[in-house]
Amino acid sequence: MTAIAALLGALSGVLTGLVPGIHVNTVTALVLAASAGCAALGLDYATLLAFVCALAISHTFFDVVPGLFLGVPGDETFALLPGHRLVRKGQGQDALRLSIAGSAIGLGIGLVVVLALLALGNVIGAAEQLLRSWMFVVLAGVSAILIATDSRKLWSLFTFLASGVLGLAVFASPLVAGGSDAAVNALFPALAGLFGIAGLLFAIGTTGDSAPPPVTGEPARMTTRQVAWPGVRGGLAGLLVGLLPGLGAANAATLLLLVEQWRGRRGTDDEQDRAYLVTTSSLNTAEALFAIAALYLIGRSRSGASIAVEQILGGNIAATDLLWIAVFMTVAGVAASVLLWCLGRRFAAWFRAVDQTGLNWGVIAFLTVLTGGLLGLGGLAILVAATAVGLVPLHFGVRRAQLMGFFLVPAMLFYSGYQGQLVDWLSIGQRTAPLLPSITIGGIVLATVFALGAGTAMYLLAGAARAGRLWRRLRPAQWPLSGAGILAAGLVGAFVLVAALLGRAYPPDPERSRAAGGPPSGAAGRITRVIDGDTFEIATVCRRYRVRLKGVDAPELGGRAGDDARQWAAARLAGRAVTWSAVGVDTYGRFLGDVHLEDGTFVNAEVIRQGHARANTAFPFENLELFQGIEQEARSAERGIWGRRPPAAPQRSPVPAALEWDDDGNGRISCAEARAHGIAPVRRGHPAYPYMRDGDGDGVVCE
Amino acid sequence: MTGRAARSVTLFSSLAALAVLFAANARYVYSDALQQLPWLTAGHIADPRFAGSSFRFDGLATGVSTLRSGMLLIRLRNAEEDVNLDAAVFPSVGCLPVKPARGETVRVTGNLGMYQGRPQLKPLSAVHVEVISPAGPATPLADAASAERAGETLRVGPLTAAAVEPFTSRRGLEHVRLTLVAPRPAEGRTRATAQGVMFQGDRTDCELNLLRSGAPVEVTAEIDLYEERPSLVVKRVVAIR
Repeated sequence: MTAIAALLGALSGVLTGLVPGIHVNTVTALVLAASAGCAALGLDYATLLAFVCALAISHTFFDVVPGLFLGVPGDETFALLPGHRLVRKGQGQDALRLSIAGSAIGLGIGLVVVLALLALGNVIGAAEQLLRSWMFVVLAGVSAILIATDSRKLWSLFTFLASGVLGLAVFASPLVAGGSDAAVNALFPALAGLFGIAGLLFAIGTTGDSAPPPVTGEPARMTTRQVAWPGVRGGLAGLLVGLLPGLGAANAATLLLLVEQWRGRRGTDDEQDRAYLVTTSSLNTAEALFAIAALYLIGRSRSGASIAVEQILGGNIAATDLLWIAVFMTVAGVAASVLLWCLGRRFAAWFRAVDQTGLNWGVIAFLTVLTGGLLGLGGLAILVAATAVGLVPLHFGVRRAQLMGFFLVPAMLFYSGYQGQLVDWLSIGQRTAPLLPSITIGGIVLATVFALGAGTAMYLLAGAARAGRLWRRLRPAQWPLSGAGILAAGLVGAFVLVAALLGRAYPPDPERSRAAGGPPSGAAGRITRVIDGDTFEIATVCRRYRVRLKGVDAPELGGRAGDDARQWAAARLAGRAVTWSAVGVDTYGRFLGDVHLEDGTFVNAEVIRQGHARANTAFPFENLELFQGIEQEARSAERGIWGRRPPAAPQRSPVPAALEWDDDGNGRISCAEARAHGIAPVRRGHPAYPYMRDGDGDGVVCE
Repeated sequence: MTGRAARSVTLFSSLAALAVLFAANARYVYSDALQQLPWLTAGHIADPRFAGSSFRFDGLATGVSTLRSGMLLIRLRNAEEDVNLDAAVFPSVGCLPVKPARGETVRVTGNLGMYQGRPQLKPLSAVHVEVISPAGPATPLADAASAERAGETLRVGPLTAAAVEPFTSRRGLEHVRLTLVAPRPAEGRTRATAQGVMFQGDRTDCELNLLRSGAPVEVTAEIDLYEERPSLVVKRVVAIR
């Protein structure tokens, strides 16, 4: 199932890459929102993870294609001019090969760096900690360089600030319910407008009917120098922008170009174009991988795909997870490169056959209807504003990388420490989001179907209008707009209205959402990892959870009793199918759960019965008396920890003070033991502190 | 459309669209309908369908700290539901009417999210972080600033800050030294003053601005001894309306 999901993800990446204006974030947001209902499909979290990772990486191989052959400025427009120049010269095959090579090198570098960091230790995390206090300076410096080196500095600054103001409005916008935590949030229409629809509208107005020229001649031979160094350069730049906030591939590509100019141009224009195409492709692919790896390396998400991965894995990203992610992405990348290699020569022919303007109108209709259906009028307002701002650099001849002000300005403001003052000054603090229900899977399917319908209708309509049939019939000379235009606008408007009405046809019902909350009567899953005697990882419907058994306190790892408890749990429980209910959340963010095996065994009780844990008496809970009774039974039978004599005196001597509170003699002091002896909360400096686990590192245990 | 006309239309439409977006954002104000929101349970947190949904949550503040970025992090525990979570109050939310202190019961209405594996509620706005535990009477500064009360945590006020002096600790943390004064007393009595300190992790920019404004305030402070004189370690500053 995982392999099929990876394949489907890779194919979806091909689709999102080939259709101009559709970004990988669009699909991951939809998949994430829809995944809440994937129980019906019997999928597990690894399936979804494989899909998202494969999608993210294969998209980067194919997203260069529309830019090359259609001249449509997408968000990766930095690769457009050099690549498009090659295509115009009939070297489309060369351009594709260079792009494939660049992406492959970027992926290779990403894989090598990730494996090295896993093997040698996470130095990136430490470096990020050091850099964090200088983040404002770094981001401001990069922004200043990008603006100062643009040919039209004033308009460049205007674009940067306008997109920054848009970012401030969108990130704190109450127009879309759920804020940035919702799977489909305000970023969805903002990015679709800034980088999608704006480029499509501009292409409609400027490229006319020119079709890409046919590919002529045999591909030129590429030397190692042409490919290797630009690829490595791009891959390393991808590492940087994949980990830094606010910066994107467009910024890094521009900076690399500036560095090249500073070093002095080398080689012919043609060679420069080729090197640039390799660099940007490598950068784009490496960034996709590192943005997800950032979850493990620095504990932060850096892209739409990484947000999806974080949510799927429940925020707990282990080294093995990153290894799997790298493997998924590598396999998908290899498949994508083979596919692109085999089909590359046909792309020019395909794109010649497609009605480009119709396709652009179709995508605009799709994105507009999808936004209206999922996010209502608030989403549409953001889409329109973002599109208007997205058109500025295109009309004023400014680098589109300046639109990254959308992320950079809010990020700089956050790191500057002056965000609060600005909010006060603008008096925008006392707002609230509208009370809207969560987006349901039915709403998503409905909106997507309507959006696809609108897009297809728009494509056909635009084609018919351009062929002159509808044009002649519907175009009264006195109308300010063409008949086809009015019909198209009316059609899209109707689609938006119907999708918005259907998508919002679920009134807020607190009682219903209270009743539907979580897995109250037991969600099916499987124990995928035993962390210690009372904490497991349970994989269930498209998510993975870290679950601590409610009311159970097993000895900590490191002592004999703790290791025994873990061994027992690993032998008896790992891989077993279970049902579990979330009945609490502890201070470490772990779910407190009641877990049952398929044969009905109550795992919480069984661990205590086998003498590998005690009943946790720190707080009252439903099964407290039951567990205390079972614990007494285990004590009487001298099972597990109750049958073990305390360690010999010489072993105790180094920690005499701590042992006073170490009831089970495992060398560690649990919170239950600390509370039983009245020493909780235990602060740093207390003799017991070194023998306790301070999970959040705040110097206080058992708060 | 000519190139110049297209540029003009683009320029004005982008400015107009941003203005409309800000106006639309500002249109939303506190709504009584939010009182109908469900109470958050562990089941909601575990269910991905509710990511980003709005909930209410009552909990005991087990920790309150201000991060370097200005974000206020409130650790909450609801013993009845056995749920621990963080309320993350970003600077973009604005100034809280009353910043919760450790040990107080707090109601947060916000959107459910996860951050680094921990559940988080992001308040919808500043008024959606409410301290609901009953407040006792405030102690006058003259009574609070005494060596006998060392170790106690008290609400002290009314008072104003006569001096607010930032200083950097040896560890590089930016704290604030305060000179606090009580209102002018009746003729013939001495005006009470006391020294105080507000540590970096305990203060928000909003509280600092409030102190600097010279407005009458009430503080929650731990009475400490510094160089054998009573000193107020201020944890919270609230405006007196």
